[in-house]
Amino acid sequence: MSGDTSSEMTQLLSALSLDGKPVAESRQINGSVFEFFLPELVNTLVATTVETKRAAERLALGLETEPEDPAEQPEDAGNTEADSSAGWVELPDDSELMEQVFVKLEAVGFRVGRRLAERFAPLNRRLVDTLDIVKFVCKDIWMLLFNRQVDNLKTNHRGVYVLQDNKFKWFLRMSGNCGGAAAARRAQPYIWLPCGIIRGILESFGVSTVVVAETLGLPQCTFQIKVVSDE
Amino acid sequence: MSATYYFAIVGSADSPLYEAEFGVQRNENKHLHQFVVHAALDLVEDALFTTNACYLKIVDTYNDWNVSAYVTPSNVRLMLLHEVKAEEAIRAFFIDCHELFVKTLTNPFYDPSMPIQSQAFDAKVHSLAKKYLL
Repeated sequence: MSGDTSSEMTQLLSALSLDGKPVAESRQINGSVFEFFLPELVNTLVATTVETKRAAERLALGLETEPEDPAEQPEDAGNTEADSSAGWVELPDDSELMEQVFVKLEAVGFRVGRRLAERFAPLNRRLVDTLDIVKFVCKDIWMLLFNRQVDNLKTNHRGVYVLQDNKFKWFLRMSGNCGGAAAARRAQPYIWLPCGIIRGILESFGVSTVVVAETLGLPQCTFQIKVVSDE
Repeated sequence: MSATYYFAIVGSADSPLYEAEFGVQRNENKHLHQFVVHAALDLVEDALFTTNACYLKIVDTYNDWNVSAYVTPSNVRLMLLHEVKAEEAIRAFFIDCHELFVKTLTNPFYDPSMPIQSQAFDAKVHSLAKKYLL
């Protein structure tokens, strides 16, 4: 009995694999896994930043670092439970805190970008021109990450490049019941990671830049790359 | 014919990330190898202006020795000091070493400015040298 079911299982599993190898051997993961991972990453960074700020404040006031468990936990749990069941954690309004979250997310993206550049840079020719490097980001990297290319690339030929993506993949599944502008503001942290990735890729090719991003309506977002020259 | 090779990986900040010697060691001191390779770094930069390719072939010679170089997209230079001229074998060796380097980079604990101290990396480089150079 168990022998039959296990052989059926292996047949089923091998039917699911795409490259003919048994699924346990082929090292592939579902491409949409990252879209599940990104909100968790942002929420964790926001929560830990809030927590370290609170701990620092308590320390500054001379109190202990441990919160009084029974008193404080229920009110926090009440707030986060309602929101975490909906999948969104309410972003704190504190701009200094969000600045710290931005720095952390951008740093994560930076490290990822450096490795992406080294791993996927074209082998037979080196990219010398900054415009070539930006085009490489728009076409190859975007194709790898999001399975499409950037819609519009503008430059002023003096070191400023604007990349416009009208259907940004990570925004396609996001919707809010609060209207366009508020939803765009809530989606801000999710766009900081790609900023870091772009900056990491350019840095890996030796071009120092500052990358900022904004979104006007949810599936659309715009990245602005400014080359920082040493002079 | 005994053949000696000295292989070095120089990072983008011009600091050495990895060094290895292959083949029979003769009387030459290791710092002479380092000196010649270091002096050849300038010539590598000159060669970068002329070509778009990654493999720069022989960039410098010093008495009997030739220095070949390979530059990765993030400006990490793989330098090989050799006496025998074997372009295709050296090109294949460089390409495999580049792949090995990219695998090292994907390690999240490795920062591109740190020297590479992994023994597995060392063992693989030696096996590549045995395959292509010796």
